[in-house]
This record gives sequence, structure tokens and C-alpha cells, in this order.
Amino acid sequence: MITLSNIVKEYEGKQESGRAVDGLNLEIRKGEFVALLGPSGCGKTTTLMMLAGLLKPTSGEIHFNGKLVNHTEPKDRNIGMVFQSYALYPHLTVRDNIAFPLRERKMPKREAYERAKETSRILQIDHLLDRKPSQLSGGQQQRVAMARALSKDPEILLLDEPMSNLDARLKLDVRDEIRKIQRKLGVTTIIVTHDQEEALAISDRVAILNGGRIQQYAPPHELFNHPVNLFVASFLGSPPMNLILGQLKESGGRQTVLTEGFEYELPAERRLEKEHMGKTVRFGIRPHDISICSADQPGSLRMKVDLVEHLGSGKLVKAMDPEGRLDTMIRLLTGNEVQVEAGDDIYVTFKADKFHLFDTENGGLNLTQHV
Amino acid sequence: MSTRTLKQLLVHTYLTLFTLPIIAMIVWYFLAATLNFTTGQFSFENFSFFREPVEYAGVELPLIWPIVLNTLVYSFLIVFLEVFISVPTAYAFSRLDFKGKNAAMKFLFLMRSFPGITLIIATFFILVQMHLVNTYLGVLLVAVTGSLPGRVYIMKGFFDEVPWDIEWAAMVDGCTRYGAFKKVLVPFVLPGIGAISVFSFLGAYGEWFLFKLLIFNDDMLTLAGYLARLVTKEDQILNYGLITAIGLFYTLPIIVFYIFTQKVFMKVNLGGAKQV
Repeated sequence: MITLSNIVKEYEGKQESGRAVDGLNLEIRKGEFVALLGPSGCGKTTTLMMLAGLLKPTSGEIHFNGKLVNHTEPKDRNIGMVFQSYALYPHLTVRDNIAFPLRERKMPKREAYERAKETSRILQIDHLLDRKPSQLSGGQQQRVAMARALSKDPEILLLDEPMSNLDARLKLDVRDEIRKIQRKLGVTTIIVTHDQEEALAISDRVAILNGGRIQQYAPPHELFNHPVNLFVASFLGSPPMNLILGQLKESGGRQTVLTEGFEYELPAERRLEKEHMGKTVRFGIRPHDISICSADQPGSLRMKVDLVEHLGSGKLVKAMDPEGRLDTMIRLLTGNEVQVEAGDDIYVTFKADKFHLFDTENGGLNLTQHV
Repeated sequence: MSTRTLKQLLVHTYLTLFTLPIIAMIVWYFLAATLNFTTGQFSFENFSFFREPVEYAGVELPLIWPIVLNTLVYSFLIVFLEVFISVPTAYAFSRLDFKGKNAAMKFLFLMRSFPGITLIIATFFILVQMHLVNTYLGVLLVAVTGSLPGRVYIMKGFFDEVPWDIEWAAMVDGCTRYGAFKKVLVPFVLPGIGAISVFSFLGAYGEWFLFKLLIFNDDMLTLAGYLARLVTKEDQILNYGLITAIGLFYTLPIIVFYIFTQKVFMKVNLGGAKQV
């Protein structure tokens, strides 16, 4: 088990507020696959480097299996790491690259080569053992990097954007394969990525970072369905969640969100605490939770279609409110069978059990209850 | 004749004309060494220096073979020293953070472009004080000190090119910082080490000034210094034939060396580390 508690990493003199990581807490169970996800500069790579021991935290503690490792050298941490650039040793053959960590442990050459061969078989690169890295394709180099990281049977596997140099199709294959190998070997794995699809697809739990702090740490579906704050909600999902500005109101036993002229009534089972009334909020709803309906449906909103994008599996409709009641245009997803075109007038409703309300203050906290 | 061929003809004539003096010089060089100009016949009498000490017009120099040995020992020693000092120094300048790094780097750059010859009088006095005049150690010290800034500067450029990922990977894979340097970074910058080795070797091989200045025993000379001593005291060259013959003997290894090393250093094999 890996525990990060109150980790702070300051870079000296670079910026005024040079905190790359600012009070980070994280717990990773044995055998778990965890992704660190966030926009660039959020501190995810810094965190990984601290796990590897290549950077030392300014304050806070890192424990591996209950043992404090803050001052343990990278070589003594028993970690395998795959770098974004793969960082293969160009002067060594694939065999020697994979055997390198073993040879560093004073394993006899013959045994190390035997192990290298076994590992290369798992990654299906055993036919490339005699080549030099420069003679390999990007995908093959990536496999060699994986094999090198795994050959020493590490306790923790760290992956730093391992797939960002692969083309889109290969990425999918490699992703599945990494996941399969991880399951098979049961090695605790931490991946750093800025690709949310990759993070959600591959990992047991995802930690979303922003500004050097963890915003939310949860399994993928929970992140998607129950974002704790505005950042997580707007960061995850493509196309992104619609976030409409409004104000919470209560009158006559009804709770509503009021925009500039449109009132949305909160269903009875999703009522908020009284203390929230009067707050300015963002009404968040994902594009697939908005549906097109008939004009006479209660609570429906008339919109004008601005643009229709064909996504193949469906259509993405961008619609404006001609009366200016909403502060933003909205995106919604429909099936291919729905006939809409730019310029059409449509009526939309929001799924009552799917919306979120985010405070515009307090770090964009999600006010709605998790069901 | 089309304009294109005409153009080519003009260009080629022009280039040939301008190359001719250089070719003529080289031809003359070979002829002067092997032709007796009074009789107009080929002879190898100028090459008698292979067998006996040189002696003419008041110039007396020892047999050439010990000098050749001196040259080889001196040159390789210089290469060894310069590589051995400049590679770790360049690594430090490229990779480590230490106090005064920037100032030291600027100083290094200044020293690289500083005409060393202006310091030679002070250097001489210091060597006299240290009793190092007329010793190899003195020459080595002055030569290595003079060329190190340039070598460090070149090597730093090579180390700057090495991705951090490679060094980190080595450390994660079980190396200490020094282990990573030795096992991964040095192989990575091998072309650079090759380059500075060639430079140092050529520099050492051609070093005559320091020998003229600091070495008084003729049997301690190297080939370049030996050649320089062939000029008589009155600064008149009397025996052109002998000078060109020894000059030819002096140049030949360099030409052979160039032909081989050029091939080796063009074959720079890098890859497997796409820099981000």
C-alpha cells in the first residue's frame, strides 16, 4: 500500500507561488491501478517523480507498506518506470535494455538474459531482442520500455504518459494490453495522463488533480456521475457538461433554479438544505441527459438549433436560447433517428435525476446529494 | 551548347583555376621532398633522417625515432588527461546545480576565447618558480589548462542533448547517480568524447610552441617541435628538401588518421529516446 500524506513540493525561485504540489493526500491499495489525471501543470508528473524518488517532497510523508521512503533513493524503492519518451538506452540491444535493471542487482548474466527473454515473451517482443532501440517502431519501443520496467518484478509500476507518443489506434490496443498485464502480474500501478478517456478506461480509481491538489479520487463511474465540484464536472466528459448560471430560490414549498427568465423546479426527492437558498449556482447537466421533447411538456425550454455535428454514433446538437434566458449555449446528444437541422426550433427537457448544482463560490462545491 | 552546360563549364573552369594553386602546392611539397633539384633526379637522400641524426648548417638534432615515441606518448597522454577531466566537468556544468555555476560557465566561455599567448610570460615565470621548466609535466600542465575550457564547452553541449528521462530511467533501474553517468550517459555522449579526443590529439600532435618555449633538451622534443628546430638560429631555412621530407613524414599519420576517424564518427547511432 502506498500512502501520500500532506505532500507539498515547492520549486525554488521559479515562480512566486512555486507550489507544484500543494497538500496532496492519496492512498493506493496493493494491486490497484490508479490514474493521476489533470491538465498540464496540475502537479501529476511531479507527484509521480516523488513516488519514484527522483524528486524529494518539500514536506509531507510518503509511505510504501507503512515504511517511510522520503529519503530512499530511487534505486532502492523497487519500482519500474515507463517514461513518455521511453528513455531506452540507445547503446544497448533490446535484450540488454531489459536485463539492465537485473544486471544492476548483480544478477548473473545468464539468469538476467533468461528473465529478459521471459518478460519479452509476455510483451511479444522476443523476436526483437537483438535489435537496437533505433531500429524499432514507436510501438515496439514502448513495449521494450514496459518490459524493462517489469523485468525486475517491481512492487510498483509507474507510467508517465506512456501512450502519448503512439497513434490513436495503437493506443487502444496498448491500453488494453497494459491493463491485462497489470491484472495478470498484480503489480500496483500508477499512471499519469492528461487523456481522460485513457484514465477512465484503464484504472480502478482516478485521482483528478488541479492546482497541485486532488479534486476527487474515486472510481471512474463515480467521477463521471457524481463530480464533487465544478472543476471535476467541467474537466471530465467530452462533449463537456453544460453549466448554466442561475440562482436558487424557495417559495411556497417549491425549490427552483432561476436563470434570466427560466425557472427549473427541483424534484421533491432532490431538495437541498435551506441554507443554500439564494446562492448563485451553476446548473450542470451532461449533453446526453438533455432530451428533445414536444412543446407541451411541462418544464420544457424552447431553443434554436445553431449547429448539428454528426458523431457517427449520434448527433451533437448545439442550441442557443433565442430569448437570452440562459447565459450559455447548450450541447445535447441525440440519436441518429432524430431529425434536427440548424435553424430548427426545438424543445428540451433536463433529466430530473441527473443534474448537478455547483456553488459558484466555495471552490465550486457540488450541492446536490449523491443518490 | 545549351546554356546549362555553358554555365557548368564556366563554373568548373572557375573552380579549377582557383584550386590549382593549392594542388600545385601539394605537388611541389611531394617533389621538394623526393626530387634533387640540381640533378633533376628522384632520390630519397632527404629521407636519410630515418637512419641517422640530422646535422646541417649548425643544426644538430637527435635521431627521429625517440622523437616519434615522445610524440605518441605525449599526444595520448594529452588525450587521456583532457578527456578524463573535461567529461566529468562538462557533466557537472550540464546536470548539477552548484553555487557559482553561472559565473564559472561565463568564465569558461571567456577563457575559451582568450588568446592564451598573451599569458605566456606569466606562465613561464610561474613554471620557473615551480621548477617545471624543461619538464614534460610543465608542458602538460600548460597545454591541458589551455585547451580544457574549449573541450568542456563542447562536451557540455553533448551532455545538454541527453534527455533527463534517460538518466532518471537508469536511476530507477538501480543505478546511483555515478552509475547512471558511467553506464548510460557516457555511452550516450561517446560521439562527443570521440570528437574531443580527435581535437586533443591533433592539438597535441601539432604542439610546437610550448616545446620551443619550455623544453631545452632536443631529445625531449616531439615531432612538431623537432620540425620547428630545423629552422636555423638566424631564422633561415637552408635545407628545404630535408624540411619537406620530415614534414611529409609528420603529416602522413594525420592524413591516415583523418581517413579512418571520419568514418567512425559519422556513424553516430542514437535512438530510442524521443525527446519530448
